[in-house]
Amino acid sequence: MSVTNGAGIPANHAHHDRLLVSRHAADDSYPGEVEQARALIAQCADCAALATDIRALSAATSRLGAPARPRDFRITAEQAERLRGSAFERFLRRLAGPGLAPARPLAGVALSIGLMLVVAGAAMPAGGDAAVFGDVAADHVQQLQTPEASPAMANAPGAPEAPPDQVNRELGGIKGQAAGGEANSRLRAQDSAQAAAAEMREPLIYAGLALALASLGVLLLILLARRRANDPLLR
Amino acid sequence: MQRSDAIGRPEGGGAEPAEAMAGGDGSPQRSPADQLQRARDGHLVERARNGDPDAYNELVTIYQDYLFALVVRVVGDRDSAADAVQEAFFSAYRNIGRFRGDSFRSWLTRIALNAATDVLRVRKRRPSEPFPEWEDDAWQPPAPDSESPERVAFQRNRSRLLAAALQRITHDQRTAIVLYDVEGYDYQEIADLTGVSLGTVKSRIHRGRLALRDLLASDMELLHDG
Repeated sequence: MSVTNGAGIPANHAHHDRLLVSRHAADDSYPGEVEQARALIAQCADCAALATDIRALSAATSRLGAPARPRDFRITAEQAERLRGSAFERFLRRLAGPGLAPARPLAGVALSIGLMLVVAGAAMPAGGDAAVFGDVAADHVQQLQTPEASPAMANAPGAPEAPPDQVNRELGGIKGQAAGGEANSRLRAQDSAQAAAAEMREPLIYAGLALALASLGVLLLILLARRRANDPLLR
Repeated sequence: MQRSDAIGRPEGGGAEPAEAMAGGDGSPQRSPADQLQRARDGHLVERARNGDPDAYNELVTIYQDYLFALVVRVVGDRDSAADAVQEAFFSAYRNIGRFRGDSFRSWLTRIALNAATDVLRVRKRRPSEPFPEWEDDAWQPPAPDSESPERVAFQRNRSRLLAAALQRITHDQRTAIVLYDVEGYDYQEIADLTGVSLGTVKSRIHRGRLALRDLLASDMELLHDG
């Protein structure tokens, strides 16, 4: 193709400008290239011929015939029955379809939540552990309340009189007894919290397990449905 | 839908396009005929979903000529095209419960194009005698009784040349050109049907036309005449 260098027309438009002319012939030019295409067609005989040919080609293609259909494509009752498949296959196809597409992410989320519940439940102290803890706490409180641990108890009426340094120790013992009382109530609160947690532990683990297993089942069913109902023609 | 371009529309050669261009408010504007067609298809699809094969066969009757003509132009021979169309109808029936779009025709077209692609893929792996049917008169459009024998012969020769050239360009280009020039789909519809971008569709059509022009360079006068 040869063309004069005018109106911004490149001298060599062997390939790129053929597309430009083809687009123009189809009234499909990009903004800004219409003038260039018009100039090419006006100034280059080859480009003008190309535009005419492209229009003629498109018109001829639109009138292109096709051979007659060789057979009837209607399906027989037997084919319809076979293609419909069993109720389970239809269920799997429906499960694999776009209508239930959100089921997979939802099942994934449910599986995660179930596993988290199991882990949280397992991290809680078991009922047996809480009982042992309660016993230990009770023993500790009892020790705090023995006369050895609390000399004030030993100074009850009828007890022998104590020397002055012993009085100081008794005062300290009274303070210790008060501290023992606080510890007692704190330990009791902890004990009841532990017991409540121990009560929740098993239901939490079982609920988490149930949720995780159910969502895992749904995920496996969807996977099976996608494998069984996969039709390459629906890609 | 009306497509306005310098090339113009087929003169009765193409089927009614399935989709409509978007209106000013972005919603699709559909002709009353298109709306009726969709309503009819929707009703038949619903019946077929509920296990009524007669309803599905009504859909087959409506679309089998269109689908066969489309596929045979893409794959190039009647036997392969018939097999592909049959597979497409089987697949559509098997999966009719999964149809969620609002155009059954477009959904069916997409399935048939996939079946045609599979045929071409198999043929590429096992090449046999390519397209022996070009000489077959069945390829030719019916000639009106008023046409002279010379005119009919001329048109047949032109169709044969064009069909042969179409089979020598790439499958993607051929599919895009057939959908655009013969079936009357617009660029966006072709992009939706073939799963590629709008720019790719345009590129395939323009490059395909250029390839056709190169292949038919010595016979272009046949195409210019009426």
